Amino acid sequence: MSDAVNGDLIRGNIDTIILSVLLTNDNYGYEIIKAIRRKSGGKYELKEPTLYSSLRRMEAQKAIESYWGNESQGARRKYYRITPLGVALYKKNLEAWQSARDLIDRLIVVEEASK
Amino acid sequence: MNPLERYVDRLFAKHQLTPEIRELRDEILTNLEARVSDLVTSGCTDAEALAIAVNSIPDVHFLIGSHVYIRVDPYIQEVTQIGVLYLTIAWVCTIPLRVFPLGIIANSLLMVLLVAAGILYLSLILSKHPKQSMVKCIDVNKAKRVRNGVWWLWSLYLAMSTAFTFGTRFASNLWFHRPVQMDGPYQLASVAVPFLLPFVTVIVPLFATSAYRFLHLHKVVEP
Repeated sequence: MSDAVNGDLIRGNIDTIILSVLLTNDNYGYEIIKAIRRKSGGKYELKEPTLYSSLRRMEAQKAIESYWGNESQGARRKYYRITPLGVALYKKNLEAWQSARDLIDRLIVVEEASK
Repeated sequence: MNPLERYVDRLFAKHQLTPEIRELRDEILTNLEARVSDLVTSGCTDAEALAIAVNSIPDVHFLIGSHVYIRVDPYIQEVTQIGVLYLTIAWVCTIPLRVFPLGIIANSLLMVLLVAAGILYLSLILSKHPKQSMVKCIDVNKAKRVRNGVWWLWSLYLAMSTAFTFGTRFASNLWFHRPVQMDGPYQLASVAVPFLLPFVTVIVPLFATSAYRFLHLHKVVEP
């Protein structure tokens, strides 16, 4: 499978992927990248520019909100939290993806010709 | 100041540090620091970790204000295409004016421009660019200002050209005691043509408007 196609497919679902990470707990930028790398089994690395533009877009849509953490040691970090609107968006996107996946499966998978 | 902080400051050097942008700068910096310490823990040297972190975010323009990324090649191609279209319309409109010397000049000039634009367009279509996916960062607000400026300049030009033509044509009675004579459709046309011809240049601001509009059509969502 070519990486470019993979990339395009994933790119269309970046927001949902990030929402799915924030669904379990609040997180900051680099930790989100790491969580996604972990979830993909090391196969996909989210790029920082993509992360920031997605986070800003979703913050503008009020799907997520941010706050500065109170680190006891080290630098203060900017955390993101999913809003009820974000949860709804996540569910809607997940449903849309699943029905699209089922449809595409039906359209492109060729059953073994019956003998 | 550590090298990472210096790098992030350089990324933001061109931008005014409003509270919002300062927050973005701090966020990017803390995330890069987290990446560096993560890489160092997993066995990278400090220099390697720094290089990887720096490479992970080459610029920040697209995160600030009105910057968007556009695909250069399809954009240029579409803009050239609309240019050819406008020139064609203007050329066709000025064909009847070839009866008058001014019309011949305008029409021939438009034909030369049209041929040039046509050749450019064909060469763009036929050449297979190896870098089809080249993207460029554009400030949309700046582009909008350019578009509005073109419309202003054009309005100014039109007002001045109309006033000038009016002055030279209809003040002849004042200057030369020779009233304007209009005793037939030809004379009417010869008076009207210098007034109407400048309106053909409306293709210039229309072209600017299209060029601005196409920016939005060739936007790349993720760089």
